[in-house]
Amino acid sequence: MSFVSILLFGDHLIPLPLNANAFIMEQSFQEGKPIGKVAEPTVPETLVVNINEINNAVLRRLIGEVQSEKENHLHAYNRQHNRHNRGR
Amino acid sequence: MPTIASTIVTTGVDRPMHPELDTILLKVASRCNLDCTYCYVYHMGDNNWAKQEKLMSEATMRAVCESLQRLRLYQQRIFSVVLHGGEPLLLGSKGLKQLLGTLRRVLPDSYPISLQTNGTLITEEILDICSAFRVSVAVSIDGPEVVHNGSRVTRRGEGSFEQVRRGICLLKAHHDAVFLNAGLLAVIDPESDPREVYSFFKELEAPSLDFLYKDGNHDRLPVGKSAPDSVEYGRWMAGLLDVYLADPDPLPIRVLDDMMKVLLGGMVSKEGLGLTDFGILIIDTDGTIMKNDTLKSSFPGADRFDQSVNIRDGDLIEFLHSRVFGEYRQLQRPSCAACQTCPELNLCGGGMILHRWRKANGFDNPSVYCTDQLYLIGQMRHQLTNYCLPHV
Repeated sequence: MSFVSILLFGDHLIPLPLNANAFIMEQSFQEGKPIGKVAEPTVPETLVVNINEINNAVLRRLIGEVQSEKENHLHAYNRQHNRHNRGR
Repeated sequence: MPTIASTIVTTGVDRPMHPELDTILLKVASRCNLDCTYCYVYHMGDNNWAKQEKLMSEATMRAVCESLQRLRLYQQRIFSVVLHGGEPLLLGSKGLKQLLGTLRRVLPDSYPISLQTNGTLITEEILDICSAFRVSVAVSIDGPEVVHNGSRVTRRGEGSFEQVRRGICLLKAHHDAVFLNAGLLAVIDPESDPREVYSFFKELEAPSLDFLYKDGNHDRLPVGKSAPDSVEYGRWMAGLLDVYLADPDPLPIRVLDDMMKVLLGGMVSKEGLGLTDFGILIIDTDGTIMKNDTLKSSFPGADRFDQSVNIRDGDLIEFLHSRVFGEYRQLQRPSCAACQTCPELNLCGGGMILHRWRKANGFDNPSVYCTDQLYLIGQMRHQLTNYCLPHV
């Protein structure tokens, strides 16, 4: 598990160096490789979650979607809806 | 048409960007019947709209459809088409029917076609046409009347809320509403109360929502943002996140869903987030092939390609293999050192390209919303921790 360290001063935010254990999830372009010189990726944690035990409707749905998309090898690029953020 | 070298641009890690499209935005009308104060088309310095034909001509429509037919045969992946503007319903029922009829002759129903409208010109006839051609309708509305009318006004400066609500009511009441009603799109007013905005959309029975940050960059801060490192928008979104997660019957919010799905091990669906490549191309009202139109908020002409190609006399497939198209797609990958070493890059993705702009060094900057996004991501991680969920 990783956490972002943040200090707040009024309305201004100062991001501190992030936890050294933070890791980059594997999110593919075409070949499943993260972009160039980002922080060194490590092996993503395996999520073992019983959806029914999550007492939150949003998170329950999202975890179900993530699992379903992985099982069906759906990647963002080949989803059948538009990606322009000025259209739905 | 200029000669175009067939070059596939490679990245710093020699990874080819496959010249494919996932979204084609058609600017079927260059004018709008509203005069929203924050509009990137009319109020951010670019005046290309004034040089355009008011509506896409029949000849351009035919050329677009022929090109999309060739694209369908060329690329394996399905792509979506969005009718946009200006206000696309200025086409009128006759023009819309003609365009959609031609489009659907070349694109089967498995190719999503949608329409993004300000909602004021929706009629039952328009909805019947959209239903017949399987075109979904999304409406732009910013929230309750006082929030919406603060920015989304007519050319006489009057609020458009009642007209938009009437259009949404027609959409909801249509016999094919389950298909047609694609959701609502709101631009954030950071001075509004996210709880009130969310409650309003719930009462409106929207099927889903999406929220946008106002356009801006490092030289021209977005309205409502007091300093590059301030977090007005981040705090607003975090407030929305709280009310969203507390709702036992939540209304799906695309941007929050996308971001949390990355933290849960999934991927994003929209531009400006995550690190997946996307291929978005704009076809302007006169048929000119353009970059993402939101870029025009950076500086006048920022959405034009160096080598101008018109869909009426150029070849779209050849254009996808051109150097200029490869360079344009390359832009979406954040290049600045601060982003490259940021552990949240895989979620943030460097933000929208337009938000990175600074005249002194172009797009080689973090997003002007960097601190807002870091704040929001921190709140998301906090929420997931509260639910004992591991997050990446």
